[in-house]
Amino acid sequence: MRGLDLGYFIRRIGMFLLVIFVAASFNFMIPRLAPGNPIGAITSRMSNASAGIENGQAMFEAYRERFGLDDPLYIQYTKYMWNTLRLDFGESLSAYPAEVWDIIGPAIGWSISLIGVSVLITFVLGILIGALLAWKGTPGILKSLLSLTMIGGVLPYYLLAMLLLYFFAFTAHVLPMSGAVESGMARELSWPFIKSAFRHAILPASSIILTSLGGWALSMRGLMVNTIGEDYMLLAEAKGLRKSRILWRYAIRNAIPPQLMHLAIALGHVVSGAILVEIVFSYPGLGYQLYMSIVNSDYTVIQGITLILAVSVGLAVLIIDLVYPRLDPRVTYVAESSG
Amino acid sequence: MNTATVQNNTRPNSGVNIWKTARVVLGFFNNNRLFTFGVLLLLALFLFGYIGEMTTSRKMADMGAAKLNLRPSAENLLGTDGLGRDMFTVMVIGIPNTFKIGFLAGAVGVLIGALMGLIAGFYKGYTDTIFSSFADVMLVIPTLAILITVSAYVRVVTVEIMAVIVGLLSWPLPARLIRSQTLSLRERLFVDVARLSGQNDFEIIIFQILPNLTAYLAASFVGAVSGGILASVGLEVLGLGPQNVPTIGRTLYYAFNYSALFKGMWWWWGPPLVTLAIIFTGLFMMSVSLDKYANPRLQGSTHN
Amino acid sequence: MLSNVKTKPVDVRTKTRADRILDVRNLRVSYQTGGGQVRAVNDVSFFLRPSERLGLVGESGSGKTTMALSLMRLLQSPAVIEGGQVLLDGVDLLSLSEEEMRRARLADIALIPQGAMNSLNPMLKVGEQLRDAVTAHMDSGGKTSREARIFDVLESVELSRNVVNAYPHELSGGMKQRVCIAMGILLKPKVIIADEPTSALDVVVQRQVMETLGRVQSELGASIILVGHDMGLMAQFVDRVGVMYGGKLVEVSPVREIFKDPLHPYTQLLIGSLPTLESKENFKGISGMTPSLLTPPTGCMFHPRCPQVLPHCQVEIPPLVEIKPDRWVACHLYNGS
Repeated sequence: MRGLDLGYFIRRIGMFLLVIFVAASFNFMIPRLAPGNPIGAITSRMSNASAGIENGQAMFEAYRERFGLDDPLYIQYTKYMWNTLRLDFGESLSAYPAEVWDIIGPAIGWSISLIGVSVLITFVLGILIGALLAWKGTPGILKSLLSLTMIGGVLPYYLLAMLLLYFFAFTAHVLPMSGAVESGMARELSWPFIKSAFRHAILPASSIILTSLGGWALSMRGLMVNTIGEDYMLLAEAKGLRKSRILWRYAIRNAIPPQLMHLAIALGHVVSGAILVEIVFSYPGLGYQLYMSIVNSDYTVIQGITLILAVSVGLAVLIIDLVYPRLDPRVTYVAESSG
Repeated sequence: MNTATVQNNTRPNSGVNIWKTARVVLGFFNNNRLFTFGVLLLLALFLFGYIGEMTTSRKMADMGAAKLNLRPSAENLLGTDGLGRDMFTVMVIGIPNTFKIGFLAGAVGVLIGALMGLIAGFYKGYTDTIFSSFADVMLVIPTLAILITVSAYVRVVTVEIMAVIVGLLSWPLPARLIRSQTLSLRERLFVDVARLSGQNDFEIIIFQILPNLTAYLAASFVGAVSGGILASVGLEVLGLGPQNVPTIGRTLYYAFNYSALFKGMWWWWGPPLVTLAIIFTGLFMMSVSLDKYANPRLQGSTHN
Repeated sequence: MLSNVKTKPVDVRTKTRADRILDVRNLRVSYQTGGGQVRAVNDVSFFLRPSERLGLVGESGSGKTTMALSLMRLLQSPAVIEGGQVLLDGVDLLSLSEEEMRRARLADIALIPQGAMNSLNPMLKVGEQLRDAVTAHMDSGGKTSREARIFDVLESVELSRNVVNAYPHELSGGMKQRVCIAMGILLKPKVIIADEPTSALDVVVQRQVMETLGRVQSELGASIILVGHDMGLMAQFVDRVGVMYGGKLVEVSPVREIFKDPLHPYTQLLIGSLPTLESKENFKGISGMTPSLLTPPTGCMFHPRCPQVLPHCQVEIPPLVEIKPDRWVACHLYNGS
């Protein structure tokens, strides 16, 4: 019988925490493992520079204190983990005394609206195209047309982004070249604001959608071919069901659950993958902020963003994991625990 | 494919007949035209870089080696960029470097992944739980973010270090695929036969299971190479890749930084873009073809 | 009458004898393959009487499943019905439109599939799958009668009403097969095609399921075609047996007589090869290979393996003729007798 298995939940949530833990540890280790002691270099650079900047000394002190750079490594690690646990990333180095959250917060909003929406559009279109490609009732002309979407997968998404920028924004002036809204526009839920945000999102979103659509369609086609080969498809037809009903309720419905698993992983990878798209369009999302913080050697912001990325992916996978048994009755919480 | 290798395994390791192997390989290429075409595409590009490198002097890729912003001509086949470098030389040096990163990263990734997958799938139980959880965690952590962060701290990297870093992050997908295949292979009859005839775990994994995974390993490798090139070119475009040698991505980085796009210098950004399109087309063809191979049911559908 | 099919113009209602609920005439089905055309069902004619149980036996590759599916026009793409007639109560199913055929499926002619283990959609509850089937044949309303009918059929295959809320993977193999039988009789069809319905089940469950199938069929008064290769099962279940070989029907006879006095040499070998209590150790197969349908032998399909082959057999294809009352055979040995 299907039931809720506490063990399953605990394991999944444990897995989620493990992801965060590993990501956070990476975050801690990488700067310290890197050759040339970047942390030492930063502190000395900062102490030199701090003399000339307003607030410089305070910022330097805050930095030393925050990372406990005089403490032994394990204390630094504990301190770091404690801060991470409270989602306290401290102050930005380049925009001191601004909090890291002040920079990340708005960026998260932009990234979710741009990338979340693009990935969902791609997912839905990919399922439809893949399904139609595998379905024997699809007209041949439509199939060839749909196959054209595969071409997009040949160029890396960031290069398509550059080409779109060149042709549609720089040459034709049809769409804006950079940013998320017109500069200086107040952030409010007004019609002009939404319109501007939409216009600014078209090119970056297109570059994500066009380049990843083919891959989604291809894997959906594979799943559909497997599903259509199942015995129950014959019985569905023998029952005298309408073709459309067989397509939706028996073929597509059954092929989707594994795609959702991919979606969770893809959401995470595209969030990080879209970094490059955001940079090309100077779109003020997480990726762009990550890039800017690298350029500015703003390590607190770098750490904050990488952790946010890990948390968002972990969360996406966790949600799918917990919802999956509801979508595919063959996978039950209990079966998972016994296997 | 599977049945063929299974038959090979039931025979004791007789002397490998080179001609027979060659015929099998040729037969494979003949039956998988798309794959062959992809391979040829990559080979042609590689040869272009390899042979081209011999016809030109490396010095021509240094900044200020030629006049700036020249259109393509007989002297500078692909023109020169805004830094006075001969684009043809930059490309013929850059192409092998990009291949090197991709293949090295793919090899590292598949090697680690195959090892993890074989061990996890063969021993099952706790070993599997630990290995699989680790792979799942790594799968979830956004690779590019780690790469960007690493490159942000390690400012100077060589082509080899770059490749190894990318490879170290690309093993989870191969590991998953190999694990699931190993799980089913270990239950097959010929594994029992081998065990009864006194082979130990190591021998069974190497001589019985591994040969049956050829198609999956190849598919994983192509995927890992593709991912490796995608990630490394991405980093290079951001200016975070190897600094001291020309690569395709770094060429684009300069092109965009110097607004080649907006100056109408198509010979600056065009060649790297076309090169990348060829590389990814080739890899895409190979992976589509291998995907069909690893997934027998797909084959029937291609007739419809 | 065909309850759900619009009555076709008279010219389709070919003259048929009242004692034949299903009349298959000269049915030809072929597969288009890379190597050429394979004729899987080659000029097959037979009929089914009301409430009759007809067994259809043959080796794998003899075309029995292809033929069974072609009666409902369920064949997949490389297979093409090339010609012939399938008269169900006088209406030629092969001349119906797609939509008319869809409505005829399940309502007039139903399938109990091979491999019932995977024949139910694993993502949908059993109840939803039954409801889907009824709804596809209703024009509107009738929700209560639909539910009542579903409970009815479940009861008649000895399943609890609760299975409507179960997913297929929660049921045993025998229960799944019962659901498939319930599905088959849902709309009281005139003809049921059961394609090796119990091949995946163990012997005890197999017997129980066949008993249920038999009882349900008699209650309904439907005719049934049981496709299979298990002669033992046939002996217990059917009234008449048709033997297929190489895409052709070589003999159709009442079940008792086919065991007592098989006419066609292939049938004789088939019956002779069955293990009996007395001669268990003397199990002998039929020598030779099943014919390649890509390059079929000339004349009689069986002549390369036939122990009683006549010179004539290599040239002329023997027609299926009724040589004694209700005994049909396609063999030159009986020509003119």
